[in-house]
Amino acid sequence: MPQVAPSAAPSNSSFDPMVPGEVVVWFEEGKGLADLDVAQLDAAGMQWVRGQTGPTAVFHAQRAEGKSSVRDGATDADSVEKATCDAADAMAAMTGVKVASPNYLMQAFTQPNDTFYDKQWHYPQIKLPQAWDVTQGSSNVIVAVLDTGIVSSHPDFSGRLVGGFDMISNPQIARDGDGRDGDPEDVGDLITPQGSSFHGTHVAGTIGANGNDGQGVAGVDWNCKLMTVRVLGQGGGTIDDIANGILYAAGIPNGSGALPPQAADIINMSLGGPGLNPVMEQACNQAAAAGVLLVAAAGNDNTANPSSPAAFDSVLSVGAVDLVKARAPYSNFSPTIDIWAPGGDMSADRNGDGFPDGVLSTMADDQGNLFFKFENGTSMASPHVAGVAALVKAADPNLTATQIRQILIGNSEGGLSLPNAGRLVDALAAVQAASTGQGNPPSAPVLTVGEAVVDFGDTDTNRSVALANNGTGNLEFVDGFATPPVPWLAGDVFEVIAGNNIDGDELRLVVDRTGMANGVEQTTITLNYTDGANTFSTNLDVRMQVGASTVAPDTVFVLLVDPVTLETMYQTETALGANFSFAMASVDPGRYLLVAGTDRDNDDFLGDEGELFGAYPSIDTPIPVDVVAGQDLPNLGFGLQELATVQTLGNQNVRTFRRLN
Amino acid sequence: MRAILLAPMLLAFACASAELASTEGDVHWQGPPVAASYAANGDLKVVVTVRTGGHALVVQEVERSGEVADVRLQLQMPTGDLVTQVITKLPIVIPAKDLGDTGEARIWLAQGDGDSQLALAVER
Repeated sequence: MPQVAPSAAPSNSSFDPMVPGEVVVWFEEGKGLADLDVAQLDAAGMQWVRGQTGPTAVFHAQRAEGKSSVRDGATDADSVEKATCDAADAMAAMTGVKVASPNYLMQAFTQPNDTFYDKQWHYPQIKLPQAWDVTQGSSNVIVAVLDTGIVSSHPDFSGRLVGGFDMISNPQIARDGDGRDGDPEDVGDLITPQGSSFHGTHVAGTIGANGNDGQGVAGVDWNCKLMTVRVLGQGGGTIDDIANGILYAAGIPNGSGALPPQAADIINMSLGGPGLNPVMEQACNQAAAAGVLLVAAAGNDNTANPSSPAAFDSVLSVGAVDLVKARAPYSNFSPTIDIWAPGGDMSADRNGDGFPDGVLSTMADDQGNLFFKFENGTSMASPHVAGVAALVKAADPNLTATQIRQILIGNSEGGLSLPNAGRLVDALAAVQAASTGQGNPPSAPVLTVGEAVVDFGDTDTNRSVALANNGTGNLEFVDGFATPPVPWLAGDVFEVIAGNNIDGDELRLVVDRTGMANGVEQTTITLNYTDGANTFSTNLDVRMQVGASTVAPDTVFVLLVDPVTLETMYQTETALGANFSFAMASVDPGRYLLVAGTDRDNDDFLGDEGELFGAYPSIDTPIPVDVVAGQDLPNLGFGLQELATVQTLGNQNVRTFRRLN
Repeated sequence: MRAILLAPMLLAFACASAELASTEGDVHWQGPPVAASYAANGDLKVVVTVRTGGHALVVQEVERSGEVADVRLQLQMPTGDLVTQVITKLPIVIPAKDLGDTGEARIWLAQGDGDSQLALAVER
C-alpha cells in the first residue's frame, strides 16, 4: 500500500519548509519511471523534473503553480504547501509508487553566529538550538526583568527594551540621586571596593540578548521585548519596592502611580530571601491572577528551606543544575522547586573548554565597559526558564500563563538525579507542544513517579520517592500494594496531593533484612490514586540485597549498548588491574556503544559516584563501534576513571547504563 | 560612550578560573570560603566567596607585629530584604606597603558587626 510521509497537511500553519510544488517519489521494488501511468500523471497534473535511474524521481505539481506560501500570508487551505502535499498524496496512490513526499528542505539545528555562542554550553543542554528551529521568539511577548536595572547601551539589547521603571524608593539604595522614577538604567549597586554587580544586565542577556547578530552572546529568546523594572540597589532591595515592581510589571495599580503601556506576559525574579513574606505573596498572587507568569530563583543556600518569592504557589520556582545536569552545589533543593535549569558551577570546567562552567551573558562595569561574563547561581537558572516561557508564548500566543507553566513542567526532562524527582526545562519539547496545539492543558491528572526503580543496595533501609500530578485536577491517594507481597517492605504515602497541580506526595519506604537469607529480593509496588471519577496507577520496582555484595570490587563489567535505546545488548566481565582486557564472541552485526565500569554498590548501574567508568574511545566523545559479520574488532582500548559525580557520556547520563544479571 | 571589550575579557576569565592558593592555619572561621595569595609585587589578594549579592568586603585594619601581619576584614552583610541569587566573589587587595617585610599574613574576618575570627594564614 503506498504511503505518503507526512500523510496530510499539518493542522495549523506550521508547514515545514519545502521546495514549492516539488514531490519526491520512491518507486516500488523493480519499478521505475517507465512504469508510471502517463494518463494518471496527466490527470494529476504532475510533470517529471529529474531522476531517470535509481529508486527516486522528482515531479512538479501544476496544481501548486500561482499559489502563495503560508509564510507569505496564504491560508493553509489555499497555500502552495497544501497543494504540494495534495500532489504527494496523489502520487503516492499511483501504481508503481511506494512512497511520495513533498521535497522538504532539511536543515541543521539553528546555530546562531554570535561570537561567543560556542561558550554557551547551557543552551544545547536544554535543547535550545532545536527549539530555535521552531521559534526564535516574538516581539509581541514582553518579559519583565525585576532586578538591578539594565545597562541599556549594551549592543546585545539593541531594539529590545520596552517601558520600564525604577521602583527603588530610597535614593541611597538607588544611587541615582532620586527615588522612584521612569528610568530603570542600572547606575550600579556599587559595593565598595568590589564594584557593582550589574546583575540585571546579565540576567536580561540570558533571557533576550540579540541572537544570530554576529556579535556577543545569544539570549534564549531573540525577539521578545524586555521590560526592565529596577528594584535592587546597594545591599539588595526592600519588600515594598519589589512588591510594587511586581504590580507595575503586571499592569496593576501600585505605589508608584505609574503603569506600563502594556503589561508583561512573564516576570523574571533572580532574587530572593529566606522565609515566606506575606506582602510578597500578595503581590505575586495578584500578578498571577492578572495572567502573568512569574518565574523566580530558588536560592543559593544549599538547603531544602523555601525562600521568597520562589516558594509561593503562584511562582514558578527554578533550581540550578551544572554542566552534567546534576544539582549545582549551591542550589537550594526545596520540594517547592518546580523545574530546573542551567545555573552553572564555576568551581569546575567539566567540558574542558578552558573556562569555568558558568552561564555566559552580557555584563558591564563601573568604568563603563561593556563585555560578557560567566556567572553562576540560581539567578542564572531562572532567566533560562523565563526565556523558554517567552518562546512558548511566541509559539502559541493564545496560551495563558497557567498553560505555559503546565507546558514547561509537563514537557521537561525527567529521569535525572535531581532532588524530589526534579525535571530539567526542555525548550524543544515545550515549544513543540505549544506549536502543535498539544500544549493545551491536560484534561486529566497525570500521575508521575520520580524513580521507576528503587534499589536499597545491601545497606540502605530508608528511601523516599517523589510522586506528582503533572496534569490537571486533584489526585488523592487510594491504596498501594506490592506484587508479590513481601514481609520485608513497609511504606506509606505522605502529603496527599492537594489542589495545586505542582505539589506532590512522597512515598517513604522502609526495608527490614532481619532474619533473611543472603541474596537479592525484589517486588513491584503499585500505587493507586483517584480524581473522584477515575483511578490512576503507577508502578515502581523495589530491589534489596541481603548480605554483602556478591560483586567483587575489582570486577569490571564491559557492555555493548544499543546507541539509540541504550539497552545493554552484550556483557562480559573482566578483572581490574593496571590493565584490563576483554573479549566478546558471537556478537550480532550492528552498531554499539562500548562502555565499562565497576558496580561495587551492586545496584546494577555503572557510573555511580565513586565507581570506575569508561567508554570507547572516551567518556566525553563516545563513538559507536560497527560490528561486521566475520570481522574481529581488535584493540578497542580505553581507560577507566573514578567518577567524582555522575557524569554524562556524550548526551547521556552514564548511570543509564545497566549491567545484565 | 562605553567601550566594548570582547575577547580580552573572556581571556581574563579563563585565567581567573584557577583557584587561589591557600594554606591551612589555626582557623576558627565558620563563614563563607576564603582564599588568599601573594602577588609577585608583594600585594596580598584575599577573596571571599558568598552565595548572594548584597555583600561587601572592606579592610578594617592591617597591623604588623614582627614577622606577622594581622589583616582584619569585615564582610558586610546585605541590608536589603531580598538580594540577587548569584554566587559572588569579593576580592580585596592589601598593598605590599601595608604588609611591610612580614613573612606571614593572618586574615581575620568579621561578619557584619560580629567578632573577628581567624579565617586563614598565608605565608609569603
